[in-house]
Amino acid sequence: MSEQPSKELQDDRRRKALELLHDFKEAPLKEKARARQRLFDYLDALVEGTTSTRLDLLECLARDYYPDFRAQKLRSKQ
Amino acid sequence: MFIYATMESLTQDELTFHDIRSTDWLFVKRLLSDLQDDFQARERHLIGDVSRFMIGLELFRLCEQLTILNVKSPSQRDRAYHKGMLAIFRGLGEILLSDLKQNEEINIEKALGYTFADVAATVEELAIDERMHYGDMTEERCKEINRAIFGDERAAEQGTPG
Repeated sequence: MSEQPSKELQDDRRRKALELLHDFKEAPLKEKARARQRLFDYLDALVEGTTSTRLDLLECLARDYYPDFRAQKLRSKQ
Repeated sequence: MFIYATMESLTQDELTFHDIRSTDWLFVKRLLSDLQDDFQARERHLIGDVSRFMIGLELFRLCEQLTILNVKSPSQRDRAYHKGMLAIFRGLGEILLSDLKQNEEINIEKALGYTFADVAATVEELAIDERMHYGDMTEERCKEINRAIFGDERAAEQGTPG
């Protein structure tokens, strides 16, 4: 049985997934495809070996993304 | 007979090539010119469609910002409109992608500055948004996913989006 990743690593993974989701959603049109690819590659790696799909994970991440994470990111950008 | 009919529609300049071989070539040249005109018209039409779609989407995103994302409790009416418009834009986006695929020779990047892949990613974003805003995942399932991927249940305890 594989060792459970540390809490810190798990938090980092969630933060990174949310960052990539944010980058995708805020990407200008001409960078949309690249941002999408980065997000999907990361999410695919996360769901690998689980019973979840990338879309399942996205729907789940949305509960963090809207409205808190997004609002924070936009505030920090201003 | 065919050649004569074609010759009748030729201009005075074109008729100065009076031997059959030259007029045959002119006919081909005209045909090609017509085809190029058709292609250019289709290109303009498709590029116009993509451009209008993106402008419409930009307006939708602005309304979304004002009525859904920046509001603590969006009204029922705004949520209904948001949900409906999201679905309409996604559907139109899919049709547009299909038209673009059928006309692969048309280079939208040259005219608009973004690629087919960027348009496809934008349409995919709409599908993801539908799922994120209006997906019907249960709390239990979300907890299960968080547990499996991030080892905790924190996200599931923070309420639903929108």
